[in-house]
Amino acid sequence: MIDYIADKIARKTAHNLHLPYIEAHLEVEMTRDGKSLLHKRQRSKSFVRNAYNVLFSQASASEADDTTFGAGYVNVKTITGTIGKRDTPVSWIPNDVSSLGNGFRGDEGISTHGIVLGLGTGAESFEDYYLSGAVIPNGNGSGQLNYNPTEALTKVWSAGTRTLSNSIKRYFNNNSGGQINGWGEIILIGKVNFAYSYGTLSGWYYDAYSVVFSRDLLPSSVNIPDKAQIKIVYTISLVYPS
Amino acid sequence: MIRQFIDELQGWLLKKSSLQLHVPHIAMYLDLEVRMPEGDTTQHRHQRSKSFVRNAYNLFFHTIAGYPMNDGTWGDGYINMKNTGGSLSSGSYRGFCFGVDSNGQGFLSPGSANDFGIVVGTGTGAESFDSYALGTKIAIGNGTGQLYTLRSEDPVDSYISLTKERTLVRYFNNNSGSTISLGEVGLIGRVITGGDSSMYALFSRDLVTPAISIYDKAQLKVTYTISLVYPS
Repeated sequence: MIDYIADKIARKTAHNLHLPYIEAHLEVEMTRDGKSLLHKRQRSKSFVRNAYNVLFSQASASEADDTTFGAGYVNVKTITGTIGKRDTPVSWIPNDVSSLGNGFRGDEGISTHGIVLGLGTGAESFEDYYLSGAVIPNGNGSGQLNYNPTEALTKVWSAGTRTLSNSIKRYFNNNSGGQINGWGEIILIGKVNFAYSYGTLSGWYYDAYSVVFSRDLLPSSVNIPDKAQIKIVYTISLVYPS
Repeated sequence: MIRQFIDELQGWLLKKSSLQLHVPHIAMYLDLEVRMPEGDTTQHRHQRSKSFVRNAYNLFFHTIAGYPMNDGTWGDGYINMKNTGGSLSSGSYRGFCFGVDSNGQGFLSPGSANDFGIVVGTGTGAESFDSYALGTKIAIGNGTGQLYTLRSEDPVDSYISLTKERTLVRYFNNNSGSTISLGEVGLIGRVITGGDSSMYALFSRDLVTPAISIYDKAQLKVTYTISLVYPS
């Protein structure tokens, strides 16, 4: 209820002040034999520091070059916990975020990019840079999920609410022959770049890092039956002024 | 004054609700100051800038939602940018890279140039979300109707009360021998479109109402502060 009111206030005031209002929603669905075992759609309140830093770097044309990760500093923390920084803004440049392997589009079999599932149940934190527990690895063996390639991005314009959305969708199949117990968390990993130089003959010079933009905890851990399929959709939206 | 109070109240509500929802809250302020050589301030205005244009929104969406800038149509529901000449620019990416803390990149213009950075004009046309250029830029120089346009100052970054800010400043001197009327202010970015290509894209255009008189020999200081509120 508080979120509902906050959303109404944010939407109205952002409109009046001509300021961007960004939202994220997460949809989780698990089916087996066509039957829905789990279906939740919730507001994602889980953008982490990396997402804010990437946005600030681009909105203000700031270099993401701080050596310290934390309040007041602009850089990124990679999924291995190292700090990514350089004397240049952090961006998607020079890659095409709509292609597999770039942006949020993790490719087939890849569990280090895009939407990734894990077994942890640690509380959500703004400082999260990876899963709190073990990743559910890609594969068809015991305890593994088959990571499908991220679906093509879906952009939708809702004229009534003046909201532009991009949906990032990925499927996961349990082909392991057994139940996977304790699925508890979801992260969204983007592949960001620090493009610092370009040569006509040599092309781009850039550092690429995989960084978590969002980590969402499920309300309670879920067991994934054998042959179940999971669909995860992150929808990130921006409300435009009239 | 009442308008300003209401805006600040709404800004406070937006900040609080954004913190509750754990979503980024971007804001921008504009400060205009005109001083005479003796140090007298003839004008000083500080106001919330409510003037991000479509280019800026599209870059925000591209960045946070990970969607390419590749639409061939300009307008609602499409992601791309328009340069200051009015031409559409689209591609896999648009944004800032390279060393943007030095003049010639990002929002930092070299001196005696007004293609990008903070730019000023005499235009009085209404603000529009689809603006891509100033109405009438004030020419560079010391002649009639011209302002001597200095290089952008080095940006200043700060972090106070969960708010990360970047402050951009530029000075303009009136050596023209007569008064110049300031009607509009814009923030233009040099946006990267390829390894060896870029475009000038308007991010914000603020109408100065009523217009400000920049007297002969006066100096105009324009400050834009872009901020993002982080959650605790």
